[in-house]
Amino acid sequence: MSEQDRQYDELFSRLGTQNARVKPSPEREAQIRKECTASLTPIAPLKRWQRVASCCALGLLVMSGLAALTRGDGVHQLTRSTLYGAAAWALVLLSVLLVGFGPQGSRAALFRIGAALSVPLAFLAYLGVSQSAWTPLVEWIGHPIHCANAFRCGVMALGLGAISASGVMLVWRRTDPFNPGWSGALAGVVGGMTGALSVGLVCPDGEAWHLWLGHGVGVVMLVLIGAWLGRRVLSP
Amino acid sequence: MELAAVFDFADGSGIRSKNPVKRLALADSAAIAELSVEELMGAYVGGDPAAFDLLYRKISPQLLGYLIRLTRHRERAEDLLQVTFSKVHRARASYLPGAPVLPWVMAIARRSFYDELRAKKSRREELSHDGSLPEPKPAEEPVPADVSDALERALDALPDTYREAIQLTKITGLSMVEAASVLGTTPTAMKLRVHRGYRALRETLEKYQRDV
Repeated sequence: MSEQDRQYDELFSRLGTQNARVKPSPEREAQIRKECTASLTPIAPLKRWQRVASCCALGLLVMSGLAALTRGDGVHQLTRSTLYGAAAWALVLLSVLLVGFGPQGSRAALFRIGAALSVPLAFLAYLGVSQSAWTPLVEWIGHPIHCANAFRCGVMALGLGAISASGVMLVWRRTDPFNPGWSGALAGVVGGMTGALSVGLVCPDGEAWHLWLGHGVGVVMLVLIGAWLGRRVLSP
Repeated sequence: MELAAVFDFADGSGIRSKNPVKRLALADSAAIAELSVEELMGAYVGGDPAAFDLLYRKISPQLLGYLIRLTRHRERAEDLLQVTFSKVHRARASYLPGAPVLPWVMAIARRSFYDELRAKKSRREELSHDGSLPEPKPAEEPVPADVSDALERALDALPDTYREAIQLTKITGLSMVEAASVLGTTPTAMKLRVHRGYRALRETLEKYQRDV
């Protein structure tokens, strides 16, 4: 640290001391005290490990229940796929909750890693879909019926996902002063995955482009809407 | 000081010392200094209004100072102080017991400031009481002769990321880790922001010196 930097440090610290001497007016102080102590009821907040443990326990319970239900040969195929879909959904929810309740630093780091990986992953996903698709993308888009079906599925996925994301936001409302936008995006992931899975279970179209565009775009949209809405709803 | 010796959370009554002398001493400034803000926040969440008073006395000077620097307006800073405490009160159930209180409260204050700013931007124009438009700011202010004035002006001219980093760590007195959590970044990024902010300050002040 240079001599000049030390001088700045000293000047800034003096400024800080001056600032800290300023007091609000007595009327204002009285208002604040009244507002914050008028309806003060005891609350027992959960500790971080208790929150994470309760999420894990809930996830495990759901998974065990699903595993028990899908055992045996008498289970109908649709029921089986519904339950497996729900199991996958429980895993998504569990990971989202774990990240959501994790320490702030690790959370930000996870998001950065996710953001950095999103572009190459999207490209790899495109390559994968191209390989597994029955028709090339241009040809598939050329059929209006394909686009109409994808649009219908997209609207359904978006609607169902929005209901789920709203529920998560309701539970998380006013809890995150640090990264409310990111938490909103997480709620969007939760809702988007719910919508995509729910529609995917009943949709008869198995074409890869339909699944990715019709069912997947809702996830992206809900993530973006969640990020925008999170700053308004999840901030205290 | 042991938390259990001072607080009784079981009945939700917050601060209740087993030792009556200690209970009386809680009003003393020396006793206040002994309690950490995290302990006081715990008692406040537990439902004790006296704990709020102590908490308020401990954190409000730093918080108001920070808000004055953010807003550059005493009245607005006081408004935001009230809004911040109101939000802290509403969100107290989401406070993680034992977690650092000051970054949590500062983050709420900062978020409130930016929310207010966003709301103001959406309004078209504010008129004064007599219905006239506000006076436009002068294009170029004279270079300040005093070092601390020049430093303040140079600080104001910095990009938001650098200015906030310097304000939180050097003026408000938060640690790098605390300031990083307020701004939602890592301590390493905070150190970098402060370092780059100082470099930009040096350049601006050198320019002022040349101009003078």
